[in-house]
Amino acid sequence: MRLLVIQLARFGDIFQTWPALAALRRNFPSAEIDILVRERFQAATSGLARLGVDVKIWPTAHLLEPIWRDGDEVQSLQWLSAHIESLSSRKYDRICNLSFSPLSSYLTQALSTGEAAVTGYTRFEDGYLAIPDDSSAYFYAQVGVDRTSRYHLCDVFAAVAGVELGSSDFNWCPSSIEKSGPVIVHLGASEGIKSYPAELWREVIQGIDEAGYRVRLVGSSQEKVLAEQATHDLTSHRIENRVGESSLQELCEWIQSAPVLVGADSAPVQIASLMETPVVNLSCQAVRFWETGPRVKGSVVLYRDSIRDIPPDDVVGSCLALLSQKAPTLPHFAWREDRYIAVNVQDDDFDWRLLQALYTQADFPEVPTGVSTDGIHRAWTQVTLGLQNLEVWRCEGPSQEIVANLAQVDAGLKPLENDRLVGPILRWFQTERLRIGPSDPQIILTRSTELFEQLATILMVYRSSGGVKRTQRLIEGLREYDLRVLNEEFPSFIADFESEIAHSTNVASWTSVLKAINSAIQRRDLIEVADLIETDLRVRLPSSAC
Amino acid sequence: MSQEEAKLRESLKRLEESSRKIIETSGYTGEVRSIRMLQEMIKEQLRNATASHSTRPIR
Repeated sequence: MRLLVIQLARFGDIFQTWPALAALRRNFPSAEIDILVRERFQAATSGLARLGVDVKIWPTAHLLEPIWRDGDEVQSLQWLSAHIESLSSRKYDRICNLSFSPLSSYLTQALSTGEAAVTGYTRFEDGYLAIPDDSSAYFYAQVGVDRTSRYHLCDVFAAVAGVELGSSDFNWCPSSIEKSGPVIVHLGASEGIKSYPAELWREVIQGIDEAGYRVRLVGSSQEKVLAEQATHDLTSHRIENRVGESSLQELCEWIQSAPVLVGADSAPVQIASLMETPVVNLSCQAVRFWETGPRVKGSVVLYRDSIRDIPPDDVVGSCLALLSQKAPTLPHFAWREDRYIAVNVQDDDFDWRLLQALYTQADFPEVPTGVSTDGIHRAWTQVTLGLQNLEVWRCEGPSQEIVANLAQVDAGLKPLENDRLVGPILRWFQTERLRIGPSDPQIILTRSTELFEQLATILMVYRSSGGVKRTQRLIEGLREYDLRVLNEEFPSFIADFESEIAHSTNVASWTSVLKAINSAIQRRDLIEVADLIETDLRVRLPSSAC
Repeated sequence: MSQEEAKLRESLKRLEESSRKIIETSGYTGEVRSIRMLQEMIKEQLRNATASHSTRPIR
């Protein structure tokens, strides 16, 4: 069996592919396993030799050279075809594309000759994006900095590769290595917005040094200035500035002998996860630590909206706690076994539980106070229109009018894709529609109808049961004269009902009840408010709304 | 804009035009696929080039 893993992303992603490759090797001990990486990031594959993985190179600079040099895209195309032919000659039985990029999707299709089983992005025969497996579809719909996924990328890569990770897949550190080296501090990050400022790093370095620990600063040559600023007038012999001086191989060796690594979102954090080195990770809104953070037991993630708001004392305190093998008590997220847990942090995990409900059959979470359900009603209107048009299609056959109407439904749903409640649901729905691909119109009709019906079922969850519980809680709170319920929950309840008016033709019959409710509130007669909601308002509204 | 970047942009335009013409006459072929791969490789080099629809920046 011959297997190809395509990983055309950067250093960090390649390191996060190592566990999946180890699991593939466990599952297929005698298979020929190749990994395709960009030439520029080839150094991140050096540790893979022990798995017997053969590294293939994607030579971007070489393939584009004729264009850079002479504007000769014909020559580039010839070289590209020759390179693909060389890879194709391996006749892979299985291709796992872990790159999630347009380029890799075309490449995967080009290499998928014969009977190759493919996971990850590829292309349909008409050139449109094809997503053959559920894990990649999840990635397409729900992963990104503006998304709410909490699956670690190592797990996502493994899922796309069709393997389950075990603890041994993260164990790349020889057992003979003692964690007796200096604390590693990596100053840089892949982007400025994720970087901790020099003046704060200075306090961190000084704090660790003053506690009597050795500190070794690491980073690329571009981070030399930052290192000089951070160590300005720090003269301790325990501080060793090696920024811009190490090869990737040396860096890996330093990290594996370090008792702790301190750093923001960057490849050294991902290397530490393979070397059993615990990490103090500085994270912020621009990063999804859930996806790319450290996964060595005990590792600590210090999170603030802006990375500049992380107090240096917290960084030092966390580092010293890990050095003395104690769990820090300050607010943080900690890696435990297979996931992060919040420690002394208010963790609003509604969005994550919503994703789990969509993808793993978990229960749909109740909508938190303050999150509008208006999008649900707006989406419901569009879904109803969609189902009506699909029914006409089923009865009378396809027509230009139906196509135009369905396009209008999509246009109506589009603005809701960033809605906190409806957005993830619609991204799931639209991704599944995209996966239908070119096919017989009858098959497209059947599958589209199924998806619209599934979407309607999900929307109903929030048009009905959540509302029932919420209304009941509200009524009980009012009867107990709970002013918090009146001041905090009642306004959003009424706002949601008013949004319902916008989508209801049955307005006149119950706006009078709203007036009566307002009058009772002015008299502070909460019992009457509760009675009016229970006996008058609820029966006048569609059952789905309450 | 550097000379290299200008060459990349010019090539990208020509490649887009070529793939459009082939699709009009023959549909999506292996040749179009190769052209699109080259287009994507060029876009990766060019900041501000419109990203293809199939992915979003994630990190």
